[in-house]
Amino acid sequence: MSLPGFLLLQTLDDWRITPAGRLEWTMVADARDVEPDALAEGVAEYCRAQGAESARLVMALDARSTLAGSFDIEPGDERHRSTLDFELETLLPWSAEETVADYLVQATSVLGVGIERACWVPLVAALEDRGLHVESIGSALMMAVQGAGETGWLPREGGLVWPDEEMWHVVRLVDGRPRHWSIWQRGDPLITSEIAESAESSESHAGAAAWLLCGDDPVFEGLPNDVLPVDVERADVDSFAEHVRVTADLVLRGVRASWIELRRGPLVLGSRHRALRGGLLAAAAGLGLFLLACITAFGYRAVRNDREAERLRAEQIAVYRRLFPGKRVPVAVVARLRSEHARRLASRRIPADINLPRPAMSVLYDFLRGMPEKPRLHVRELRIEDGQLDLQGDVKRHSDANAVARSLREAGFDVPPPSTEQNADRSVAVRLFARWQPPTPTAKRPAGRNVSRKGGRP
Amino acid sequence: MSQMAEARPMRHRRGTWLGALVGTSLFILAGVAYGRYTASLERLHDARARLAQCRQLADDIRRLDTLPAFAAIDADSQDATARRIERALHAARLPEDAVLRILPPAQPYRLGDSPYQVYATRIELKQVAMRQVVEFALALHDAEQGVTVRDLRLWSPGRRPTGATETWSAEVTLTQLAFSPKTR
Repeated sequence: MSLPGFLLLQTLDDWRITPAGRLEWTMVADARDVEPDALAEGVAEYCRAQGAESARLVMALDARSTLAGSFDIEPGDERHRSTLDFELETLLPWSAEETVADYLVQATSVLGVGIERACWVPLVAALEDRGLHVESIGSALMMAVQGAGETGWLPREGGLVWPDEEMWHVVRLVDGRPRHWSIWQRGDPLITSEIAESAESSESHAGAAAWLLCGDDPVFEGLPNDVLPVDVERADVDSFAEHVRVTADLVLRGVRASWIELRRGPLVLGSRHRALRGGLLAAAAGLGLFLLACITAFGYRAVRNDREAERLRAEQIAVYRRLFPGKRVPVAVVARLRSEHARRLASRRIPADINLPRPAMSVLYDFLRGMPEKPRLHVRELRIEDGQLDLQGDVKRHSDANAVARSLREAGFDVPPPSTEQNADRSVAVRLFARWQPPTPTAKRPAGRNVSRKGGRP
Repeated sequence: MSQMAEARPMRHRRGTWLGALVGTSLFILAGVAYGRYTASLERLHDARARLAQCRQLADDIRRLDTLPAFAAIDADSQDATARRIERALHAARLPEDAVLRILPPAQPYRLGDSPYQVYATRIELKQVAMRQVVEFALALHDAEQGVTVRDLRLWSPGRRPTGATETWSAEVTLTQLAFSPKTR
């Protein structure tokens, strides 16, 4: 987004302004030494009238506000700006610290142009405060010469004399750029020797030189060619301000930089992106509020989550206490419950694939229950091994053995036919094997086949 | 005015730095707050999962507690087995000299491929009544510890005289089923 540009020109008598690309001068202050705030307000009003709340400005300062000096330097010194500042300081009435200067360097020759910092900082600040971004501050004459060069009629070697209401500005050109700038009172006859000296110097550099007397100044009529030591031409220059505007337009479009740019150091008060500042500030404020909202929301949710987690932890403890009343609550409730669970699984859930030891008392109980009243059986040895019953005894008759076996079958034993053998005393020895069939598990009993509670029937 | 204008860039820079500082601080704080939030969320999910696990385990434990025990978590020591036998003798009103010998478990054996082992202790009794043998065996039984009399051998020493009290010699094999995973 580009703001509209304006050229603010200081003249001998006033300050005037024109939109970039046009030459429609409007006087915004009727004196050159106007108060900064008054001038800034005038400029702001003008811009607002042009529909621009914010604008970019190129300031072109009159020659009486600037001072120039030429000096030579050692090769390489041009890279050290402080060296140039202190060289120029010797030519100006201000100290280097009080001066804002810029330089045109050609080999070892330097043309420096400076202004007094204290005079211009308030004006730039007042303009910036009103949303007017000072994009460039230049010397009006240097801008006019640069503008003349852009239009193509400026000689590459030689010079020009540019008069204004009070003075003649004599600018010596080398390679199309100003090398030296001097100011003369109008009608000063010594100017001829200056031009002659400059012409000789120019010729010694580049041979043929051309000099221009710019403008339609009647004083030039008093300077016949035969008086001047070199040939001069009269240039038909319409307007000094027009050439300043050409340079200002180029600067505002970003095509060229001004030869002498005095917006530097303490005069750089605003940003060229000032127009975006409001939006950026709003975006930054919005982002800040968003971040604050995020911080608050995250913090609030974190506190709530922690409270909820604490409540759930208390609930864990309550579950443990309900399960094991009176027991000390361990730190790791879940781990303890897992351990208790594992213990119970190991001791109370009978795996389907194992055969538990069969209690002999259950076998004995069923055996005694299944024994018939008659025939009578005399037990000599009873062996119960893991549900297998091995009986040796005596009965009166062989058939009694079968009766005993039958009774045991009715009691739930799996009994093959018993073997019998007559004893010496005519009784019959019987040997009987039986396999105990455990009772069928009921819904209330575990999956195991032969488990019973302590104190009950084993 | 001049001094104010001179101070402007400094103020401007200070404001920019302050804004950058505040912005950076806000970002850092937002990051910290977000980190705390995600950590608290993780803790909350963890607490929910743990509570659900607690409830599930508690329900399972209650259900398992309704089931009879069939095995011990740890096998009895020899002392504990001896005390158990003494208590059973006392309960059956058997004199201590009724115990002819006690053969402790030589080596437990594993029930199939299961994590359970059986420890068998053989106790030989002499001249005991059938009722005493039964009471002795019942007193030995302790389902909570996986203890039961698995094997029993009773034999009559010989023909008793008519009217004499019937006595038996008995060999009681006391077994304890204990949880003993192979990885132990």
